[in-house]
Amino acid sequence: MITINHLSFRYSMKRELYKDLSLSLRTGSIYGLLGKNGAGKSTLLKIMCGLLFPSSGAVTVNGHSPKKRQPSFLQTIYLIPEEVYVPAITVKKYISLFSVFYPLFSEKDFYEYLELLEVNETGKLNTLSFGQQKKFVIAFALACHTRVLILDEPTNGLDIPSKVRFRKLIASVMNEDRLIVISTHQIRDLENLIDHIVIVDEGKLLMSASLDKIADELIFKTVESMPEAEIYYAEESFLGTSVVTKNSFKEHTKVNLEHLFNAVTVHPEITELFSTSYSATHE
Amino acid sequence: MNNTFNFKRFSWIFRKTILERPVQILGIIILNFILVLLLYSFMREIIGWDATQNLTFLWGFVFGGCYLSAAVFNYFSTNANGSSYLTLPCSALEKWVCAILIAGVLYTISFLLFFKAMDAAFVSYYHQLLDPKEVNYLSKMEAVQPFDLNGHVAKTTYRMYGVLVSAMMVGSLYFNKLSFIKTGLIICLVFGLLFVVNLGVANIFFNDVNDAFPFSHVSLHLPSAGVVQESNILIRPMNEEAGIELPQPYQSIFKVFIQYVLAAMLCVTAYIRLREKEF
Repeated sequence: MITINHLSFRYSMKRELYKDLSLSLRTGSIYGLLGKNGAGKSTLLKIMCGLLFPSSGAVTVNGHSPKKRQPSFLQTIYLIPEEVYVPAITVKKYISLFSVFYPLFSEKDFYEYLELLEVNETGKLNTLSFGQQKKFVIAFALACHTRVLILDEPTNGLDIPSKVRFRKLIASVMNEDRLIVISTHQIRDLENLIDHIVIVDEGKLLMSASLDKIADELIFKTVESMPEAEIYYAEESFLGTSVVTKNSFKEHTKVNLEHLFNAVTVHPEITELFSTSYSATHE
Repeated sequence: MNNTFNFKRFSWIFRKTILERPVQILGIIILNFILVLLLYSFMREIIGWDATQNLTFLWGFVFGGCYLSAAVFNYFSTNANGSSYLTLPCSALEKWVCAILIAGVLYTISFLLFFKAMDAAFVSYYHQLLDPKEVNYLSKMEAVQPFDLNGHVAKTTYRMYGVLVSAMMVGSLYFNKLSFIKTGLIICLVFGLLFVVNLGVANIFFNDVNDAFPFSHVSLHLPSAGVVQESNILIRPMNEEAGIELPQPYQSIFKVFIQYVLAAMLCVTAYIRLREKEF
């Protein structure tokens, strides 16, 4: 579980990125972290991993303070940054040098994941393409079986079939003891994968809610004529107008993450609809 | 679990550091040895044995050590590399000891062994080439001796090495990119500033200052015979120099400070910086 209490963070004295942000992420869920460019998504992920330190407030990850970067904490968390690093060594050498640090690492699983992601195992890692390197790191990170897995723009650089395989793989490794946080701009890559959405904007937490709760409160559909219900977001499309409206009659529609994001950033007041779950996650 | 230091984890990080970037770590050492060998081979004819031995020892030991110490923490030039290094499940102490061991201990041992062997081989070869029947055989033989690793030049070099290598380590944790160059410039700037300030202070207290080395000595042009007219005795030739040195206890304090205290302070700073490093 990741708990963030009254977090403030600033890169410089002039610019404060986060101010009094509180958030709680529960084990057994896959969280999608969304936000505009420069909203501070990567910063938040780095704070969770202990790469950046809060100016004030407290962050705990499964009872550990990330800031201390203790080995007992670091072996339970794996960060896959947007740009990955692989040294100029072979896969076997990489396993022998890096896997020892992660007590739950499974070599069998690692090779399975490599095969699933179609990563070429021959030659030195630095000769692989960027996409292949990224898939290699994803496979390694998953094989470490850390309790917390943090992915920053994991699908950047992956081709379309690899994105599908990535989604399948993430879904297959998820269990009740794991917490996965995925930050991305490519919202569609998260569809059918995440079960909880966190949106940050201008240093504030705009919303944190489960997809079930969102589906209970909002309707996402394409209409030919505008409905009478309050419209939070509308977008013209070839098939008609895609709208986000209040779910007054408990209909069930599939959550469109892109439309949700646009609706929430334009009408932040929508988040009040999720106040029950919002307050629950803050307790 | 011991979160401060675990020998098994330390052996893993040590192995990883060496084998993950063998070209960068071992390559620097080997390249430096080759450079020293080439310099030693070619410079003897130009500047003589003594100067070559001093130069190659100073260059090889200090420059190679500095470059290596900048390389052991050279993870922060890219976001991916830096994140990977800092989130590797090892304590800051283990990472720091690993760097100290590579740049401070292993390099020192390997360089001294290499230099001793190379120098002994060259000197021995030179001695073999001398003709015992030659008139000045003995003087030629005595003129070229193996470099004394306990001599004045070696000891001064050890002092420089301790300070500069630790400073490089600190610099590589402060500057994410081009740390070697940036730290080198800062070291030159600090040293230049100290030198100028010291010279200025010496000039306030003494006339005819020739040069002044910070915390070490002041060299003066002695008054010529023309100046000491009162006694009407020529006691010194023209343009003679004399040095004012720190009294012995203070000189020892200075040497201990440079060799141990300053180097230790910089090493501890590197550890604190690594622990507090945000990336």
